Amino acid sequence: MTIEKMTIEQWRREAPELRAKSEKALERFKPARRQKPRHPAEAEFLRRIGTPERLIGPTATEPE
Amino acid sequence: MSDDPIDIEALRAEIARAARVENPAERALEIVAVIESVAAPLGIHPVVVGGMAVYFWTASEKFLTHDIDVVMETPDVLTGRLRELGFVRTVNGRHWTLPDTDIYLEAPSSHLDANAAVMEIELTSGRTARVLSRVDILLDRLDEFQATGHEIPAQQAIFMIAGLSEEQSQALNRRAPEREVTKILQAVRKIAADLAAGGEPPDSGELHEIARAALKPEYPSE
Repeated sequence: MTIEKMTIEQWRREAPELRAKSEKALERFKPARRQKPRHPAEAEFLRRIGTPERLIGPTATEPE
Repeated sequence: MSDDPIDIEALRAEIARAARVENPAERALEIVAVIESVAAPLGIHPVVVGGMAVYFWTASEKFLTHDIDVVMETPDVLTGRLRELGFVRTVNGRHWTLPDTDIYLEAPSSHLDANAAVMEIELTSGRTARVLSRVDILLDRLDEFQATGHEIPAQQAIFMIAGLSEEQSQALNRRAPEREVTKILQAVRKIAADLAAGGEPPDSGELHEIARAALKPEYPSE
């Protein structure tokens, strides 16, 4: 395993450019919907904090 | 291993402070950094992976769900320390919550790829936390897209390819064969190039087709 280092200040400086490049790449896609089942406890937590349903996706019927 | 005593009360106060940090990436990293401080003496170094790592490397909330996935071993002694910090483990043993906060932690696996690269981030608190590298996260997304044809890993792969440095792009080319994602990487690069040239994005059915085609052997047997 290799380890590189950076500071959070560096990340903050680079974040606006990172965001602009990434979002431009997807600007013509419809918002994606999660298709992978999620653990019920995790789905419940995500609903509690107001996560959009499309990002929560289906709930696994049997906990993993 | 270190024999330094761990001041759990001070760390609980730090966890409470970290849980109130506004930016989701910085909040997640400060939480993981406190966990690192109790895990490192055991030789364990948690690494942020999954959606929070995608957020870190894109700074976009497009796919953000706020849960924190970390790769780390969770032996009983670490489980005990996480409990002392205030975490509550869910029934399946992989998920942890921090009551009265929006912190939700999952340890989906205990080991990274042997060739994985991580970025160690020095935080405002002076602590450090590790995030899986942009190239490794991209390899994970390509792998998941190829295996499932799902929209989210497909879009995340396109999302993360945008703005790769030349050095990261070369690292991706080198590492794709070992993860058997060379064909899906080519396909995702083609989608990105088509989009940049004004093409339409593939729909869900087309993404499944692309993933299926990438899984086919290059030279089918007679």
